[in-house]
Amino acid sequence: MRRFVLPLILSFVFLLESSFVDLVPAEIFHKENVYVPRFLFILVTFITVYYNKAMGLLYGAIFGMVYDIVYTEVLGVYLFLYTIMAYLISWASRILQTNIFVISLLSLVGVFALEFCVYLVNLVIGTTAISVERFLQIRMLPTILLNSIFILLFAYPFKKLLGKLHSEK
Amino acid sequence: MPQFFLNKRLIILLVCIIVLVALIGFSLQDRNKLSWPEQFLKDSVGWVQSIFHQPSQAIAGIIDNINRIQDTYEENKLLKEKLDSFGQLEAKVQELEKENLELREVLEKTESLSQFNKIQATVIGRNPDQWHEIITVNRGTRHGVKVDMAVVTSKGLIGKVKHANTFTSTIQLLSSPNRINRISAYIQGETKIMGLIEGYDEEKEALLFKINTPDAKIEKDQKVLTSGLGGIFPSELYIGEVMDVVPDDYGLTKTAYVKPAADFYEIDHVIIVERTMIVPDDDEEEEES
Repeated sequence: MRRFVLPLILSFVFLLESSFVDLVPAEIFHKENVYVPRFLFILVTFITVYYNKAMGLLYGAIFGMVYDIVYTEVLGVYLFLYTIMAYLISWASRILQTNIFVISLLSLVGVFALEFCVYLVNLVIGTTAISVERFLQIRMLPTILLNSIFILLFAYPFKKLLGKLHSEK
Repeated sequence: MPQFFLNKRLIILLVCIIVLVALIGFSLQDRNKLSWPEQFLKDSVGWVQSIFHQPSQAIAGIIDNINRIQDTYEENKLLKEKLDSFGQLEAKVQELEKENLELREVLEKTESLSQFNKIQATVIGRNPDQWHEIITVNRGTRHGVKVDMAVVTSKGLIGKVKHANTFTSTIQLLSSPNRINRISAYIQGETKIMGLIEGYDEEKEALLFKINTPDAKIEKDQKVLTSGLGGIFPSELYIGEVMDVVPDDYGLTKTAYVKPAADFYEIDHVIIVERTMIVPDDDEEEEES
């Protein structure tokens, strides 16, 4: 039973990202800025650091692939980026501390890098043509803001849950 | 052997990048159908999504309602004014429709580009990264959806079907800056001004409408509708209004900015439109010629 807790949470968050974008009131969220939820990615980085590195990377790859197929229809981008970002963060966390504040900050840096890489890929394949300044202003800032709120709310409870699962194992 | 491990990692990374580029290349080519694992995954996730979506939509609906109550009074006043003229308009439309039908019968031409069947669908998801403006709806080939069909809301055209799976399909919105997104349309005026919708300007939030006849006089607020020429779109689907007209770089053609009538962000229910007039298949054309 315990084994299904993490996949269930991740699947729920995966669906939540889509519904979140679809259902939030448009007047607040879509006037000018674009808020991109990266909740799943944040959870994956927490799993790699606090639970099990291999498991976290595997989740990153699986959900990245599903994300590619179901949402964006451009294969490979998130499969690759989720896994490699999670790997880099787990590597950085070994050098730094595994203090919750440090890891939260690291996952935000991860979100930043992820967004930027996705922007570059889209620029190259021609789905967008906006300039870097405009990208930083209308996408990056709001996205970082939204995801920091998510981290503030859920980082501590999620870390506790992971600790509990880890000790039971 | 630290050196060895470093090299191994580097090789893995390089292989990954090659695979990544190959995968992107594979998915960017013009494909009409997704491969069956993709279709299967999309359909199964779509099934879960449609269950998941209903309660969350209900919650969002409540929040939305509270927001709307605030400006009910203003809206009510405006609507009452409009309602007075609506009755007259409705009567007139009915009369004209009847007349049109009779005249068609006289001409023995019952088929028209503007006739279509409707497939009602509910939105069950949207691409969260919002680079590719894609939404998923809960109707697929089983319900008669085909690739490239037009998709409208009550306000106007929003996009076309990109991929149709068995039980779900994905819709590419007009707001994606993709150049493939071409729609034959015309501006309603004294004469029809034909042209093509080619892409979307993200900063102005307007569609780009390339005009074929540069001499034509275009005014602001003229209405833009689909022409039904080329492809399987029916005609007379409302797209939006002209905002601004600018000449091209070389002064040979003109581009009009068209403000889309539909809201691309708050989409709950859509109608997938199937033109009743049959499109000749490519094979048939070849046989004829």
